[in-house]
Amino acid sequence: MFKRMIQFRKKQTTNHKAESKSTSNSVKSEKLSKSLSVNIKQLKTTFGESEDVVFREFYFGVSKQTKALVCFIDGLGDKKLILESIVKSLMVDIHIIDQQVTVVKKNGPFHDLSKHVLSVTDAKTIDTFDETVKNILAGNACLLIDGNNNGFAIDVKGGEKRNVEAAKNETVIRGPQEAFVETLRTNTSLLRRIIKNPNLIFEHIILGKQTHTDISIAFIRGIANDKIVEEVKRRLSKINIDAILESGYVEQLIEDRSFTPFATVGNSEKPDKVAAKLLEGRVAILCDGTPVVLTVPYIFAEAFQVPDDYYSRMSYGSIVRASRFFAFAVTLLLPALFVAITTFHQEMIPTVLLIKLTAAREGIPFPALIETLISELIFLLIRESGIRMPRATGSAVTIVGSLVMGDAAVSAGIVGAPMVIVTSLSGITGLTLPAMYNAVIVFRYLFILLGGIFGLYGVTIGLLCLLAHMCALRSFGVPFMTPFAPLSLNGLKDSILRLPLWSMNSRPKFITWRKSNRQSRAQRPSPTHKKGK
Amino acid sequence: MTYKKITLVLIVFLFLISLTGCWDKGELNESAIVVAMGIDRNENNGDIDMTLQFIRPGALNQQQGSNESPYDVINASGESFLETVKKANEKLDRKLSFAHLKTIIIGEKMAKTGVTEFTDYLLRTFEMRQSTLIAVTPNNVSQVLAAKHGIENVQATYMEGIVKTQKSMFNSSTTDVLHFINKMETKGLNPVTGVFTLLNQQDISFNDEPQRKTGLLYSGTAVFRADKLVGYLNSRETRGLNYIINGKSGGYVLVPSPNDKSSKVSIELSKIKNKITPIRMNGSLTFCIHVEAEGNIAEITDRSAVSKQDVLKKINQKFTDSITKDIRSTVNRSQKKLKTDILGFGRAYEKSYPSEWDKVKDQWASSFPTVPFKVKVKTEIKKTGLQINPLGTK
Repeated sequence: MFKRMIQFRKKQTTNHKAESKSTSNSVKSEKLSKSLSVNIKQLKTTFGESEDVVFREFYFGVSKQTKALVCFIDGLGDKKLILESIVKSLMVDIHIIDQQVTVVKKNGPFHDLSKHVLSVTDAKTIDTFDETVKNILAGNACLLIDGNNNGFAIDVKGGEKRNVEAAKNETVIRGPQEAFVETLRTNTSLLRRIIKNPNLIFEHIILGKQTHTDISIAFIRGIANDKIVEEVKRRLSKINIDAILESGYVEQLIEDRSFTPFATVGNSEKPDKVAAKLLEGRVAILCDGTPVVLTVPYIFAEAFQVPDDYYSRMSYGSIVRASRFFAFAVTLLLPALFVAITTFHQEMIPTVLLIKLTAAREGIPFPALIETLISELIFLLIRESGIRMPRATGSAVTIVGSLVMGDAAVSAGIVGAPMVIVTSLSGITGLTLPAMYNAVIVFRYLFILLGGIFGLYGVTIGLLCLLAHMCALRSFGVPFMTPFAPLSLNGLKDSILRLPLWSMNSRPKFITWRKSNRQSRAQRPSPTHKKGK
Repeated sequence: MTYKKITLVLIVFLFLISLTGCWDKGELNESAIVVAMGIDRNENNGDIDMTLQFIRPGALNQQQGSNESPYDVINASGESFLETVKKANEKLDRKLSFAHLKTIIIGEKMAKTGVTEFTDYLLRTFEMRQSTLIAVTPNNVSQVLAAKHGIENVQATYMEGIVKTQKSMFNSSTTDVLHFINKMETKGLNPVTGVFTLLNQQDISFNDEPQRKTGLLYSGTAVFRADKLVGYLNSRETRGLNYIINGKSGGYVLVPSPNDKSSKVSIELSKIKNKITPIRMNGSLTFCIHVEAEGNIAEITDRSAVSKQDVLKKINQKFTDSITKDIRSTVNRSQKKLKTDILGFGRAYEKSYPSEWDKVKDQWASSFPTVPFKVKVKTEIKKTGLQINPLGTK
């Protein structure tokens, strides 16, 4: 049955390819007509009766003998700019200019218009109908002139967009607050502002057959490994779907392995974090319409790295970093260990604690395994409702959540008080690692089941399997578990502990694939040399 | 193929979930945690009488705040230990769990007839821990497990607490199952245990709680020959025993003042070092007991000026004498009266002369009471306290 399904899918993909090829070929080959009325007619049939497409026809030239058309989509372009720089320039200002240079000859050619008359930042010459449509859809204004078989695509992008605001999800105490927004150009500019280097390259591709979403691949030439850049481009070019609505679509289509709870593509909403990753040799993928930027390759240790670690002093950064690894262990294993120890290994707990636990479990109707599953599930649902609920009902969720879980369930004797502590501990520690939550939530339940069925033996076997799985993962050719396995001593400087900046002299070799220094050695602060020397 | 494998694995896992009743699974609220065990021999038919003390967690649940006792005892008797435990469990609604057993109290009658049976059961049963304390009582075992006076609300923890506080005193012996069995099975060594005796706490009155008037005293030593109880050492003799076999600090020594016989100087022991060396000379064997002790003067009841070296020397001499006297009386008692080598003379002989030991080890029990010994005590007074000159000399 599966075989048949796969065969069916293969057939479908080949069909799609053929279809897309044929349509693109037919449109591309069509050149613009010399006659403006023909072009207008064709544009109007292409856009149908869409009311948001504006066709502005006017005459210009010294004696107003030449007919022209400005076509743009209302709301995407800056109307004021179109009026000032295109229409007004051609209709009014051209008289002043033409007294010195004769730009407008009767029946063209009009190549010099962009040099002398159009006071805009960018005006490209276009000569196919397909290009015209694409430019109009991308928010540019297209200027077509009668008697000329090419026109201008003029960059007048504007319209409504969100301002750059403080990051909402990845908050830091010290460090830049700004976050990416939905506009691609704003996002690239945010990165460019941090890395003022001609080697920072943005490569543009368009994905999504229906949405034509702009995607930008960012990397630093000379630092990023060419093979990784090539691989990113190869995987992106393979994408052939209707829509890219969020960078998550791209992530899921380019990641190394789908059937794993661990993400092998990183994401961030903070420009400084993405810039840091670019500077280590990673490749960033920016999608228009998404305030989250993807970075590859992505390794396990990155989930524990937070900009604060680098901006604050080493001691604090290291302690907090190490505590995050501890939090990972707690959030993953605490409920499972609790179930395993209380049902199989009561002799392991100190007597007084055991008596307390037993006292709390008196009269609880469920076995520890079921009790744990219930309270974990309730916590998961409270968390989900906290995200999903309309803001106005927030207080209701908080009250019901805390009252039901924290108090009523315990006093009613349905869930024991230690269980509530364990659940909330594992829940709270899980929130310190948003990047790992995906994997943690899956494996936590798995470990609870293993602990409840096989005890510590099961948890240990499960941990071994998990480790083996994590070691088998790769992200764009980089082993997921570096610098731990394979061991990279240099990489360990920035793993469980965050060593001083002056000690991290080379870029991570497991990402750049070659030795490359990012700073000169011997930068350790020290007093100046003594006079005698 | 891979899809098939994944489905197979998923199905296997789904089946596993239905197997949650595993063989050694035990929910907390389905087991009775036994914290103390008392065993004795029945006077009439020689059966084993067992008293088990277990926790009643419901009474400890603070949210319900009941006045019920947090522990309860159950009695059973049988011909073997396993049978007795099973019989006890017949009368209880939860499965007995011995992993947290704190103290084992052995009645005098059981101890006198031998405890090999019991230690065999202890070692074979995986649930019991070898770090469990073991003690002997001359009183009724079930009465001992009911006597409670201190702060702890569970009687077993009360007993454990008494043993812990007495550990720093030299008036008692402390043994756990592991050490007891080791000493019992080693030639040239014999086990000793602590002794619990019922004590009437007349001085503190609880009008409404008459059962609280009895507490426990942990003092003295029960002396075994192999697995049988042969007698007791009083607290003074226990101190002598501890000088010889225990290297720990703690305890105190009272010596008469050098000036005035009726006045006393109290010395707190801070360090004890001991060693037994067998000396073979011209075919005769002598055991030399070396003890080095350090102490601090804690109290002087007359006006002796300890700032003077000669006074201090005199006190130190008394200190030495006192320890020597205690050691001598202990060794004499274990040789002449109890006739059991609890001091480890045999073990020391084996260490120094292994080949000679092989010849005598089988007759050691009979030759021990007559071996000569010497006591060499070296003491030092380290500190004289914060006060240098005696008070009241104006």
